[in-house]
Formats: sequence, structure tokens, C-alpha cells
Amino acid sequence: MALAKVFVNQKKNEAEQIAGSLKSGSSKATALLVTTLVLLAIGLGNLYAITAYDQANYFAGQFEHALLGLSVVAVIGYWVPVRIWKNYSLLIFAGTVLLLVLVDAIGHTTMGAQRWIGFGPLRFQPSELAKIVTAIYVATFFDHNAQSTPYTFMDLIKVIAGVGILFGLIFAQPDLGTAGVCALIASCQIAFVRIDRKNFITGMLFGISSAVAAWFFLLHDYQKRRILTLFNPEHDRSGSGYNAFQSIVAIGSGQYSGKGFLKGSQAQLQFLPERQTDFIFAAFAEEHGFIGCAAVLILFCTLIYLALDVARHSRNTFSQFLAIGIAAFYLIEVGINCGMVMGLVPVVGVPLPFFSNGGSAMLTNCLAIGLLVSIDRETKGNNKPSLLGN
Amino acid sequence: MSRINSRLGLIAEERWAWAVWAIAAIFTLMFVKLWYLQIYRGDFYADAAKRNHLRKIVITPPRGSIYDRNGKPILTNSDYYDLVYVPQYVTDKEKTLNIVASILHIDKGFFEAQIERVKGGPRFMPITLKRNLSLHEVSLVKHYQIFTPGIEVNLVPRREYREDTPPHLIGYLSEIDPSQIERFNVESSPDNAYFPGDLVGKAGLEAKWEEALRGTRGFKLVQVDTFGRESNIAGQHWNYPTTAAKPGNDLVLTIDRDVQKVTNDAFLGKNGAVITLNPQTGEILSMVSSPSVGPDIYQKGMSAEKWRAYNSDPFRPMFDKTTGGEFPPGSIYKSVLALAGLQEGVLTPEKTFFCNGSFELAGQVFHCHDRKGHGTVDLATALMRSCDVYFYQTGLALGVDRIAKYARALGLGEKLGLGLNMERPGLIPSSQWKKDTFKAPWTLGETPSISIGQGANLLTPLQMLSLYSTIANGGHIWKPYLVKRVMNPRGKILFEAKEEMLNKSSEISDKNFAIVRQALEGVVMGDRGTGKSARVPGVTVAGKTGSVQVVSLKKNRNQTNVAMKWKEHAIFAAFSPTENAEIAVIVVSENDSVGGGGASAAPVAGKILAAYWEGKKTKALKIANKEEEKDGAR
Repeated sequence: MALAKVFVNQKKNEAEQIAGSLKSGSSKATALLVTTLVLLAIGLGNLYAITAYDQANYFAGQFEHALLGLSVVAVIGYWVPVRIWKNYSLLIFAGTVLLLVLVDAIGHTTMGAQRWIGFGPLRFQPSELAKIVTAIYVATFFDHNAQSTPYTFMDLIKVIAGVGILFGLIFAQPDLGTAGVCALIASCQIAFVRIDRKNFITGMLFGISSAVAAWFFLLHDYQKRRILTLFNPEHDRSGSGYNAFQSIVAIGSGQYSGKGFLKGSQAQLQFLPERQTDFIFAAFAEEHGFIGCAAVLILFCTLIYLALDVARHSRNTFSQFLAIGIAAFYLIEVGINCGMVMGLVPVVGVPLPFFSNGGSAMLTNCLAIGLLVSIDRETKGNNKPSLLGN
Repeated sequence: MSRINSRLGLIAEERWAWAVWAIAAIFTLMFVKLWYLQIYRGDFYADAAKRNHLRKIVITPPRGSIYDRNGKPILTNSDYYDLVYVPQYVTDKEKTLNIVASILHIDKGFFEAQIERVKGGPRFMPITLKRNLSLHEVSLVKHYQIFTPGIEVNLVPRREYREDTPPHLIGYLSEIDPSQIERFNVESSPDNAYFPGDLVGKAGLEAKWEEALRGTRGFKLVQVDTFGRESNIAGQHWNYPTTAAKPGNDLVLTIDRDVQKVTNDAFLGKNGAVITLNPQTGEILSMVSSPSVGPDIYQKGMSAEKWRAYNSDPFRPMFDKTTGGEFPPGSIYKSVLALAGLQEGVLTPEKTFFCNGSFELAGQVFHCHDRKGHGTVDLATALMRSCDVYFYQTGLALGVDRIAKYARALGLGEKLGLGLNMERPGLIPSSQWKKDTFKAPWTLGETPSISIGQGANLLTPLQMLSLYSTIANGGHIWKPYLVKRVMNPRGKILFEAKEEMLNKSSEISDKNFAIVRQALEGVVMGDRGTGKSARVPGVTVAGKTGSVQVVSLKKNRNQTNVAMKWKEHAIFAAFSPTENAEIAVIVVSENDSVGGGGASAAPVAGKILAAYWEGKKTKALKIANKEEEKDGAR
């Protein structure tokens, strides 16, 4: 009996120890990494299926991007302390602006928009990175400009201007989708602080009215036309209505359990446009049905909730706002992309994290995960073994 | 933690809850939409996806074959080679067409026109560039195929018209008239409807038995990609149902191919119609209408020039004279008069009339064909030598209406119901008919003409034959028929024809039929008979000649100096043997250049009958030999 008691106590202690280690240890980071890995695996498998019969096989390239992305997660999450991003945020912001200017000036043109910039054999899409840079920029702003009274419009003018520059440069490529995502990330971050509503609305009205006045009095007709075409990025891709319809047919025809791996007729027979990028969720929905879609959406929901949880538990203003920005980033991308393929929002070019083909987007997504892990570790105070010291 | 945030005063505490609500709302919205698309409307979109990538392809069934009574093929199908162009596989349209045009020596523009005609069709659908390639052309195309991806040779089952395929009897196929489609589709089952471009029987047996011959079309589903190219990826093609085409049913005819060939050969060079049948059943053994147009020209295509030539031919090659041609029967009608006269008591076999070469009725002179006269003739002699005067007087004694009554009793003046190609009823004049048609009473002066089968009398060759087979079998009017049975491709009998008696001429006694039969035997077997040239050694033949004046040639009876179209029709009707005849034959030679029934038509019948009996003997011999062999083996 005594022996049994000792054994029970021993077990009790062990359980307490494990619970304690989960509480104090990076349980959230682990959950984040597991969720990411599962999404990444599903995304890669799906990309393989969608382009299995294609002459251009995207899988191998994307697999390399994923490996690179995972190393980014490791480096950013476990080696680089969060404050580095705060300290160098202005430099990062300036560098991104420079890259975006370069893209507008000398970038590669795809689908009627200049989005790419080349470094030797590598091509990179700075606008993808700009999404995270926006979050870093806004987080830095609030870290520097913490105040206990509600923010007025003039208090926020600096951050609005900064994000406006990024927005304008991306918008001019033209890439309404990415520009919109940046603006929405910043808006979500700002939405977490108290704002002097009356003042803010007045300011916004002033801004809008001055923009309208400028529209009518300062801009020439050709300039107006140029701006108007920017708002209609799909306008030169003929039949975007057709694309949206084919996407809905693909999703609907998946029915309860889908047509099966490699058997989606809409995607495989190329009725589905842009099936390896913007419309990849429709292709996934076709082959895996409601069950598959529900699983993926629940995974994304988990990821976003974890990001928000990381933000909530952070003690550092910069980290907190950065995590909020990253949560917003995932929510917006998933919401717009999935909403778009289901016909809930208009067709705009926003990739689905971990699913859509594209190296820049993959690296951006992994960078965001890395930052979340880093912030979580900072919160837990166990980011000691970092390369740059504490 | 919230305490810290509150201390900083930066983040409003309730915003965390807002964020969770926002996330929940967005995901809920997506779940609802997914449920709506995939579960609630899933079937609809699954159908839409199928319509996107599945195309229904029609498989044309081969038409049924046609065999003779002994199972020998009369009309079958065989594979033809078509040159087709499959847009999906063509890499360079210009280059490909240039090569094909130069190897086949056909203008490239012709091919381009074919492709243009079906523009906008799915890219996997072969476009026919040229039909019926010769084997030489096939080998050329195959030789150059490596340079012409997308150019293929397709095997297509088509009608194989034999040299001896009787054109009018078989008929021909042609694309369905757009105006006909609706009418045809009322009768056919909805899943086997006619589509524009389908081939249908337009004449002859092909038209009459269209429903049996056409078969049931099949379908297969082909998976295509967004560019209309056939594709097997996404691998669901195994569960797409394929409905095989059912070939049409086969017809077994009453026609004997050997007799048909003999009939055709014997009549070669003449215009008109020849039919033979079995007088005991009504089975038609052979049927020829001449001249004719080979049915294959509809399949190969006909130039407008050729079409005009066929249509302006005075002997009407497109027209089936066996059932549709109406001719004055001439002297072969005298048998009707003889039967009527005997039955009515106007005549007895011994009754004589004196013929001095002409006959006068109320100042009108009717000549006998022999102007010298036949002298005193009895019934047998009158038929044997075809004395007109004898029958002028018989006709006058009977009167037009009594002649008409017996003609009708013998089945004349109405359709026999073969139903092939525009069958005509012919015409048997009567006083009522004259009143109805001309609003005038019958005059006695018209009776002599109709008594010798001239005047208003009209019979089709089939009716003439029916008349003589009725005489041969003692008054049974059999409905003539051509299709013995219909079998499905597996040999199961779907329809078996039975001989059908239209009427039994009870008005005329068997005795009188026998008297006329004997007299008709004299026509062929008698020394002075007009039908001597139809004799067949070893078997009795009974018949009657007829020579029909197309116009009255009172002054010049020398036929050699008459234009073709004014020449006499030569007619000969016969059956053999005299009693219990097995075969009856009618020969109608239009505007014959050789002479009348005895000189021109009777030899044709003689050849056919001789060949028939010869064939029968050979067959019997073969069977006997076989049995002997069997006995020897035992």
C-alpha cells in the first residue's frame, strides 16, 4: 500500500511537472508550428495534385520554397529577438519602399502588373513582404507613440501617411489586392487602440473631401483615367465573371467528400482559371469536398486564434501590435481568398497562405510564423539562446 | 496580462472580444457558404461540372443487311475509308493541309471549306475532309502521316452496293429532309430520334423498312478539357456510361438472287419492267425496272449535270415501273375477256367467230392485227393467234361493265398492296367511270378497243403478273410480297411474312380457268402460237403476248420507220408449268425497238424460265449427289 501511495504521488508529480512545462514552455509555439506544418503539407499535396498533369510542374519549386520557409521560421523564431525588428523598423520600411519603387521602375511584368524584382537568378515580389512590413511599421509607431488618452486624427497622421506610401506604391503596380491587404492590416492594428471618434471622423472626412477636391480640380483627365483603371485590375483579364462561375462550380461539385485526389475535373481539365494560385482553394474544395474544406478552414481558424492569443499574452507593446498585425494578415488573406473563390467577395488577387504557388508569399507566410514564435518565446522569457544576445 | 495592457492604456480591453467575434463571424460566413455550395446545391454544381467536361458522342449503328431467300447477300455494309481532320492534334493547320492537298491532288480550298463548315465544334471531333478514299489514297495518307499530325483515316460502315443489287427494289439512302425530321420523330422512339444529317431510306425497301433497318444509335461520353480537347486525365472516364449502337435488323427477301440476275441479264438493253413470282404464294422472285441509276451514286455524290441527265431521260431511270408504271395491257387482257365470256356463257370453248381481218361497228372499222384475217377461229385459236376480231365481238357481247366486273374480280384496278415505291392502282374503265370522269355516257364504239386491252385500260406490270398468276393458280389472288422475314443481328426472327390471299375469284369457275390455261399453253406450245419463243425444253409454259400501240398507226404499220417513242410496247405474261405453276413472269418492254410481244418480250421470258428450271434441276442434282455420297459413306 505504501508503495502504491509512493507510486501515485510520483505520477502526480510527473503530471504536474508536464503541465508546468507546457504552461511555462512554448506550448503555443508548438501548436503554431504543428498547425503550420499540417497546412503546409496539405497545401503542397494539393499543389502537387492540381498541377500533376501540367507541363509546368510547380510542386518541386514550391517544395524548395517551403524548405527555405521552414528555415526562415527557425531563424526568425529562435535566433532573432523581436526587438531587432523594432530597432531596425525604419530601415526595413525604407528598404521596402526602395524595393517597391525599383519594382515600379524596372520590375518584371506579369499579368499586366509589375510585381517582381530580380536578384540574379532569383525573383522576388516585394509587395508580399510589404504586408509584414506594414505590421512592423504600425507596431513600431504605437510602441513609440504610446498614450493613455484616445488618439486623434493628427496623432495617427504619421502612421496613416506611412501606410499610405506603401499602399500607393503597391497600388500603382497595379496590385489592388496586395495594397488592400496592407491597408486592412494597418486598420486592424489601429482598431485595437482607443480613438477619439469625433475627431477621427472629422479628420477622415477632411481627408476624403480634400482627395475629392483634388480629383476635380488638380488632376488631368488622363490621370483620372489612369487611376480609375487601377481600381479595376481584373478588367483586362477577359471574363472574370466566367472565372468566378467556374470557381463556384468547382467548389459546389466537390459536394460532401469531394471527387478524390487527382480527380477534380474542373481543375485538372483547366476549366478553373489560376488554379495553382488565386483559385487553388476551389481546386482543393473540388477534390476534397466539404469535409476537406472544413478541416482546412478550422486549421486556419486555429492559426489565427493562436496568433491573437500570442498577441494577447505579450507584455511588449511592439510585440503585441506585431502579433495583432500578423493575425490580421492571416485573417484577411484567408477571408479574402476563400471568400473570393466562394463568391462572397469580388475577385482580387490575394493568395491563400501555404496553398497558393509562389515563393515570395511562402517566405512571407513563414516569416510571419517565425515572428509569432519569436514573440511567444519573448513572452515566455526563454529566448535566451539567441544569436544576437538579449 | 490584461492588467498590464490596462496600465499602458493603449489597447482597449474589449477589442480582444471584438476580434474573436470578428474571426468567428468571418469563418461562420464561409462555412455557411461552403455548406450552401457543396451540400445544399452540390448536385446542381456537380451536374454543371459534368456538362463542362463531358460531351455526348453519337455512335451511328450499321444498317441492317438484306439477303435473298437462300441467304445470299443482296445488300450489305462494308468499311469505307474517310479522310478526317482532328483539330485537337493539328500543330500547323496550313502546313498540314498543304501536304494533304498535294498528295491527294485536291485543292486546299476544298479542305478549308470542309473545316469552315463545322467551325466552332469541339476540337476532338473529327471533321471529314474527303469520303471514300481509295486504297491507294489511304496508303499515301498513311505514308505521310508522320508529317501531318491530326490527319487520320477513319473506318466508316457504309452500304456496299453490289453489281447486281437491284436499284429500284433496294432504293437508296439520303440525308433526311429537315422538314421530315419532325414527322419521322413522331413515330420513332425519343431516345432514337433522327438528327439533321442522318441517312434515311428514300425509296424502295430502304424506305419501306426504314424502321427495321436503321438500328439504334449508341452514345459515349467523352471527357474534354477547357480547350475542347479529348482528355483522359482526372481519371473518371471509366464510370461514364457507354451505350453501344445496335445494328439494324436484317431483311430476308423472297427474291432469289440467281433468278434476279437472270432476269436482269435477259432484259439487258431494254426499257421497262420484268417481275417473276411464285403464283401459289405471291412471293416475288425477281424484280427489274429499267433503265436504272445505281444506288451508289447517292452515296458517292452526283453532279448537277448528271442529275439533269437522269431527270430528262425519257425512260425515267429514277422511276420504278414495276409497281408505278401504268401501261395499256394490250392482248394479254384477252384472257380476262375469255374468262368473262366463258363464265357469262357468251363464249364456249367451241364457239367460233369468223375473222376477215377487220370488224365493222356502226360504220367504224376495227382492224385485226393480222389484216389478212384469221378465218374461222375458236377460243383456243383466238388466244393462240391473238385474233382481235374474236375479242371485239366477245367484248361487245359482254358490254363494258361486265368486262369491268370480271377484271375487278381478278384483282385489277386497285393496288395490290406491295407498297413499294409509288404503287399505282391502274385503271379499269366502266360506264360509271366514263360518266364520273368525262360527264359523258359510254359509247358502244369504245368497247372493241378496251376488249383487246387498248383504250383507257391501264395495268401496272405487277397487276399483269398478278392476273396471270391468278389464272395459273385457279383464282387465288395472292398479295405479292418481298420480305420473307426480319431478323435481328443475332438471327432471332422478329417478323415472319405469311402468304396473304386478297381474294378468291369465286365468280369464275375452276373449269373455266382450266380452259383458259390450256388455251394459253397453246400460245407458247402451239405451232402457230405467238409466244413460241418462250418455250422451254422439258416443261410446259403457258402465256400470252401483247403488243401495245402507243399511237394509232393506220397507214404505216411498219414499226421500223417509227421514232423510238412511238414504237409499240412489247408485253409477255407467262407461267410454267401450265398446271400447278411454280413461276409466273411478266415482261413489259417499253417502246421496244425489236418488235411486239412475241418477237421481243417472249424470248426474255423464255430465257428467264429456262434458267429457272435449269437452276432447279442443278440444285436437285446437287442434293441427289450429296445424298448418294452420304449413302456411299455408310
